Amino acid sequence: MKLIKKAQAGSFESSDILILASPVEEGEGRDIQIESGVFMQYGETIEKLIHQVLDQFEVNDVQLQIHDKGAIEPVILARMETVMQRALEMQKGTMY
Amino acid sequence: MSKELHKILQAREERAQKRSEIAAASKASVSLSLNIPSYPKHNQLCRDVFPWIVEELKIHLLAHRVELGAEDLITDEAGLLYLAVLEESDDLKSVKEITEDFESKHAVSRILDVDVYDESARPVSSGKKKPCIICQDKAAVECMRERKHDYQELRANIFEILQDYKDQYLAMEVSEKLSEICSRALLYEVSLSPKPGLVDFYDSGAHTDMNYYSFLKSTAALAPLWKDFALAAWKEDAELSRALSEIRVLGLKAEQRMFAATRNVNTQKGLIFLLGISVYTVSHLLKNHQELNVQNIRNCIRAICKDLVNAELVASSKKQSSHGEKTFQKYGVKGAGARYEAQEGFPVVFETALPFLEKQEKLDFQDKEVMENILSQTLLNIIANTNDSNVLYRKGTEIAEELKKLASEALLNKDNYNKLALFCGEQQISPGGSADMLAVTLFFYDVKQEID
Repeated sequence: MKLIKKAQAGSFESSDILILASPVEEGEGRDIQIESGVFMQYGETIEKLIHQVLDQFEVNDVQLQIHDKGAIEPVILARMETVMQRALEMQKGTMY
Repeated sequence: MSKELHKILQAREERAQKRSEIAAASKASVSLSLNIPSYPKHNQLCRDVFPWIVEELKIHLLAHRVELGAEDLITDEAGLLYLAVLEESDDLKSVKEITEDFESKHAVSRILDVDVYDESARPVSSGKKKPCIICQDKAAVECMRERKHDYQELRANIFEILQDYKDQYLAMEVSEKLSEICSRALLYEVSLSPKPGLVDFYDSGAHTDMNYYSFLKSTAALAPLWKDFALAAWKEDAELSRALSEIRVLGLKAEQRMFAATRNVNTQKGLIFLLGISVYTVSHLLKNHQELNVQNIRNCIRAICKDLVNAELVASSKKQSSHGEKTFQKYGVKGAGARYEAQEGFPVVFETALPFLEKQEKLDFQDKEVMENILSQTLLNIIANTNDSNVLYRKGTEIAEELKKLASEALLNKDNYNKLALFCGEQQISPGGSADMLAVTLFFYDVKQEID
């Protein structure tokens, strides 16, 4: 699927994650930047979860900027799903 | 996604929205929240202590010259949040350091999250990791990630820390307030002038070894000690059956301070005992969430002073050491003085003086004349209705009865006051026991007015 617009989900609150998704040209692939403060050891885990959700939404071309504030797995998955729904305009009443 | 998680995530986005609104006005912000894992994010305990921590943070920021603008207290599914606009944002790193200093020194340090956000609503970070609440040397975020601890265990730990903080905060607040009320009662009593036969601002009455300044000195000497009586009742293993001996230990220490301040003159020895019991009682009731009504107060005093007259006066009347003990020997219960009053739960205070005082206009320090008039009337009321063991001891029954009669006449008509004063002067008598009861009455009056 192709992203329709820029979208954002999450926050900078502790134990949360902020994800910004932007559409890119078809064929450019997935550009994922993760900023996880002092916990880079979880970068791989986060990335795996991100790809999992991208696969689920069949999104192949996207730019993601991610700020992790120590979110646990279900939070990462939930935020990622929300940002995709917003960027794909699958959900009404988006906040951003 | 669970319903709870959904609600928390939604609340966090709404918070982010609030921060964005502040940023839209080109302002930075500071926030305080409690770090409670799992769900729900707050309970009654959190809601009780949060406003106190907010006040402490605001004082800390003010002391470090961090100026706050508009503020907001938010209770949502993500927990409790205090959010305030920062008026200056030139040096947010410093503000962050100041908040970290607050965080690290606080009693619930590891539960606090103080965050500083810049004018684009991004957090200002110092890169420091907060230690885990259970394994102190590991970062909290690592343990959360690895789900190292059971949420219930974590929450139990956190609530225990919060409960300790709450207990200590309340103990301090109660003990400081009661100290203030004690010192004020003593100052009001001694400053009330004129008083028949008693030490007041103008006159030392029947006393040759003390004056107004003796009382100021002993009142000041006692001021820092009242809180100890309150804290004794707040201790974890405090028991009413042992309260009296605790109060005695503290009372003797206070007595020594009084004698040191007055060059060995007994200015307020009886009061130390009476107010010591009073402070302990109020503190005990507050700690045990009992209503501060007359019945509860009197029951508690009676429980503390159970059988006091028998145990002390009857048993020791052979030795005849103190005035109170000698008077008891001669006059029985009528001459049992402060001990009898205490054992019966201060009948003069709760059956006579306090109801009388509460019927008057509300005591207002800004209206000196009205206030002095009410205090004076209350004292006369006490003298007229009490068997002052002091007077009995020195002068006998007849004079003691005459004193009561003259006091009730003065109460009915102010013109009769001089007769009472003259009588006390001629007979060299000082109704010290009644003056003590005035101070105790004022203590309970203020407790009722100022503590809920």
